[in-house]
Amino acid sequence: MTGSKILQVEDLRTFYVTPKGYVRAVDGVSFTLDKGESLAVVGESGSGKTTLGLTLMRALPRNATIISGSVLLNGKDILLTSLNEFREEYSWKVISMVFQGAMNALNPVIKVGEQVAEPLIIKGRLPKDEARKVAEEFIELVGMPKAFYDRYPHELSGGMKQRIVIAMALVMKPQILILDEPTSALDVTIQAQIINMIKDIIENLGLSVIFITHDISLASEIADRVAVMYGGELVEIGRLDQVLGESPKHPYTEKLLASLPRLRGDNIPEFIPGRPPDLTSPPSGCRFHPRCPFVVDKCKNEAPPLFRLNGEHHVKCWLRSG
Amino acid sequence: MGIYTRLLVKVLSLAAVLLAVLFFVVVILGATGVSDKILNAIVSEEVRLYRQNVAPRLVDPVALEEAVSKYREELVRAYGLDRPWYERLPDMYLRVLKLDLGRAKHAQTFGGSNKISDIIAERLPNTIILVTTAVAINLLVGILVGVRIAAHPGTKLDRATSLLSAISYAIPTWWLGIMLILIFSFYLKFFPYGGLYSSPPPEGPLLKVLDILWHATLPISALVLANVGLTIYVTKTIVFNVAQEDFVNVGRVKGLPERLINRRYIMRAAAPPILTNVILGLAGSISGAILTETVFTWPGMGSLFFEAIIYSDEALILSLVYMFTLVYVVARFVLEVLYVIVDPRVRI
Amino acid sequence: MSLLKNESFRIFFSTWSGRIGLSFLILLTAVSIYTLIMLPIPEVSARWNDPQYWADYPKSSPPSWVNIFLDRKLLETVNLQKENIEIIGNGRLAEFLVTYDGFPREIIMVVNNLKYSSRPPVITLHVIRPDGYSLEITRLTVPPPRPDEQPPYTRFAASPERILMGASDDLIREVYRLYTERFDASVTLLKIKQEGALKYLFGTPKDGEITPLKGVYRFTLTATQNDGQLSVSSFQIVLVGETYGYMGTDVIGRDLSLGLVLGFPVSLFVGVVASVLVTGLGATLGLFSGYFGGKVDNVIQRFADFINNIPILPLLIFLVFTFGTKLWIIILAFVVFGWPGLTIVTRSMVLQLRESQYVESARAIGASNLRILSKHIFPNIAPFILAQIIFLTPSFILLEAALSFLGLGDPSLPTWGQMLELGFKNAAVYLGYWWWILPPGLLIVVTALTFVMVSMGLEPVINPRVRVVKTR
Repeated sequence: MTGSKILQVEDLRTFYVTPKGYVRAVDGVSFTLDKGESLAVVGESGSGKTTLGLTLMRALPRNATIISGSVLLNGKDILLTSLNEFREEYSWKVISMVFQGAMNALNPVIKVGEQVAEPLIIKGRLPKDEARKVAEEFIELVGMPKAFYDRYPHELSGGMKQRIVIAMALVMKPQILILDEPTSALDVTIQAQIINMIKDIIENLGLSVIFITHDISLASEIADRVAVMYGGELVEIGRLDQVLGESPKHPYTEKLLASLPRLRGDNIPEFIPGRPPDLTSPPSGCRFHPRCPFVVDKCKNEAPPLFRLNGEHHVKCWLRSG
Repeated sequence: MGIYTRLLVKVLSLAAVLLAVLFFVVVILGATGVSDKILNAIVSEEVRLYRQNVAPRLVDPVALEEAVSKYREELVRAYGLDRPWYERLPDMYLRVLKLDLGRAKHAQTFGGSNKISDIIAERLPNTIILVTTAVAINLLVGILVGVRIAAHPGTKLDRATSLLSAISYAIPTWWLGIMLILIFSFYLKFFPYGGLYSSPPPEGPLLKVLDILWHATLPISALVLANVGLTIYVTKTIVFNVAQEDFVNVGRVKGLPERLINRRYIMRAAAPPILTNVILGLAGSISGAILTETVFTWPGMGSLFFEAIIYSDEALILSLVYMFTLVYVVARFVLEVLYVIVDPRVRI
Repeated sequence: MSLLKNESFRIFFSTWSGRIGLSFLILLTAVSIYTLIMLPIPEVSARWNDPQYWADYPKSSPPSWVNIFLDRKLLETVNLQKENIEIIGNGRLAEFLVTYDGFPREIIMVVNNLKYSSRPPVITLHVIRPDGYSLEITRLTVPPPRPDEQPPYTRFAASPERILMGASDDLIREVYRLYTERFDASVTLLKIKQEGALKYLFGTPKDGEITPLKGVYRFTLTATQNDGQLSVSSFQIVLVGETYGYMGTDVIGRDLSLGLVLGFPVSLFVGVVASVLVTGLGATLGLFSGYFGGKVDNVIQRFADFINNIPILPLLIFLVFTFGTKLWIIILAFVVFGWPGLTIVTRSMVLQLRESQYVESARAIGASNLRILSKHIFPNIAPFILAQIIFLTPSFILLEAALSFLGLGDPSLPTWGQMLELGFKNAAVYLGYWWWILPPGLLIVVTALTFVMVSMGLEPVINPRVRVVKTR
């Protein structure tokens, strides 16, 4: 793997300010992304994965703050630029995002094609007719007829809206694409279509992708590498075959895999007992310890670092410390 | 296409409302005996005119009385007064529909005609000018201020807006008008007590227009001040809610400039509910017209209503109910057209 | 079940509008209850509508306390009364001494229940001015006995004799005589009539003008031509001034504070009753419409849409005009036009609830419709209905005021709107009678505002999303 590192995230912390205190949604996350690589970020709701994506796009809501950390995009720390500069130079142009909930990402009173073309006209300074042509190309790229340019969001089904949102994210040919649960609101058959389309596009456009999902099996379709998040922390990261294969893993990841129903074989899917941690006052030591079947005293007192298991496979667990 | 079918449906339902209201009103008038009164009054008036015309020619009193009675009988039969009221229904219905409204007891046009259709024709533009101007100013101020305040939620300004809108809702427009007259006409003598123009009106078109504006200032102020608080509050709420929507944030992340976000994302998406509120407030604007014109003796349809009540002029009241419903229906339709233009989601 | 511990109440009370609204509501209710207890409504309403009762009061006069702010004080109304007078033969019946400085609007003499035994007496009223001059103000000839009547002859018993002397020709002539003979002033009868005889009676010429003659005025009532017993229950002399009472008077002379106070229970009654009826009808229809669906739903919805498309006030005017200006007709008309709004909203709420898990499972168990409605659906819409009642009350208060202002109010009940109607029709605005037009309107605003504020305070209780949680 000699791909240059297009994205380097170092010790990122994003907190939300709420009446009950600070919610430590992303609490010290570090990883890298190679050019052309697809990284899946997997976790249950509340693990902080969406916040991670929003942080990278600097699209956080008003009550969220990036406390510390750095995000190097092509070597430059984009957290240090002003929001205006980021939105002028980087957002959508270099790094782009498909947000969770496509239905709400589209402006209901403007034609969808115009929304796809907007960044081209405003930021790309393209004249209207050229922008339209490019937008139509991307609409076709995501598998829809270009006549749909003139449709309104309410005239599209869920799957179509998802495609448009993807087209919209890609229209300025970014280098990095973040996808946040792009298929969770769709039914299974449409899901498969969309995933395949995404895979083709990734290949055709040579994108580097961060794919956020709660569905680990979905991650396995697209990802080169997988990162598992729990309670605001990155607890495991490695190649797809490493994380999903037979090698030792984080107990949480093991539980996740065990909870998948399999078509063949008669193992009953297990569930993970307990509830996700309260991120305003997370458990001491390892955040997973209240639910971990292998918990020992050390887990309750000291938070484990990311131990390197093998090559790129890292696990944040005392069990794997040897 | 989608737009036209929806509009057609609207036209039909609004027309149905108009026709149904008229039917309902005519039935009530018949059943309570009021229509008898109206028709009898019309007959008496026509007989009187007839007598006036014929008297110079028929000097013999007996012959005169005979001719008059015969004419009266003809009229009674023609107007159907010899039949029960429900048989007269279709006739009366059609007559009002065609705006053949009879004569007023007391009101007159400037030129001296007391035909109701003439009077209404003379007064209707005055009402429309007053109400339209007031609504326009109300919306302009309300929306501009509401948008400003929506950008600063939770501040003292926000609280003040809630209080202002509550007061706005509670203050009767007509009482505010009275108080304005008391302060600005009686004590300060800045503005006239009422009416459309001074008597005698000034010379020259520019001065005439200024004179009318001067007379219109207080009534329009009353209409605006008593309602703008509510408009600001409603606009603020709608704009604020729209601004929280996901797609607005997406627009920002796309790197679109704030001014574009405000215009294309926030305001355009807020326009339909704001327009809905305008439609809902339309009925209120109409009743505001009736009461405010009365207070300021503004010669429009509203003060005509007041006169009709004072003089118990049934024919005039019937005509006015019909006309007001008609005006409301037309205004409503215009707004519905605007709504369809503004909100693509309803163009099924 | 302590009210203070109840969570809903605490949320409501935490809003500034809820606090203010509630305090005002308590105040309004207290005043209304007090009014209902202390003043028997039918009697007092009748009194309000009886011009005779107010005959001695100054008309269209500001309240007495305006004198605090004025340099030149307005005159108060002076009431002089003597009761149970009995004499035999001719003589003085009553004497009053008044210190006066100004021109009264009117002098009224009221004779109540006079009995004479022989010849019908003549009652004369004289006044001796501070400067010593004496004038005869009026001469009342008591009606003689009728052919079939027996002594003692009773007069002015069923209704007291009231004489207004300000514009009487006798007084004008007396004053004219005084001024031409004693003051050598150049006046004409016409001039005195135009300017008012009372001005001359209570004034003195000075530098070509008539200025008030300050001092003690002695009013004497004498009986002449009486040769028998004469008794009078009461004599009253009223020097009608320019101010009266706490809130002034209207054109009939009515003490406005009475009207204002009577308005409290009436407006609360109209607002709340109309609101309850409209909400009751609208919610019930919405309930049936949403729950049972089908044809019932369609019909109700059609009706609701139809009425929603009608401009309310013209139709309201028409209905009240045609059917009469009685209170129950007015309230009925409100209900006819008010129910659709509620029906539509209730229906959508019920539609949602109908699909909820509770209802589905209840139906699966086999619960009857009545049970489902009362146990699952109604309790969930009840808070909203209660909030609507409070929210709608001010609109009906305002609507009733508007109808009254146009002249379509119920004349047997004094309301603030009617006071404004009378004021407007009597040009109170153009004459600057602020005491007549400011208070009733202000009370309408305050009452409506109270309910609006209570509504605003209730909003976070009903709609949890709106609650503002205090941040640490």
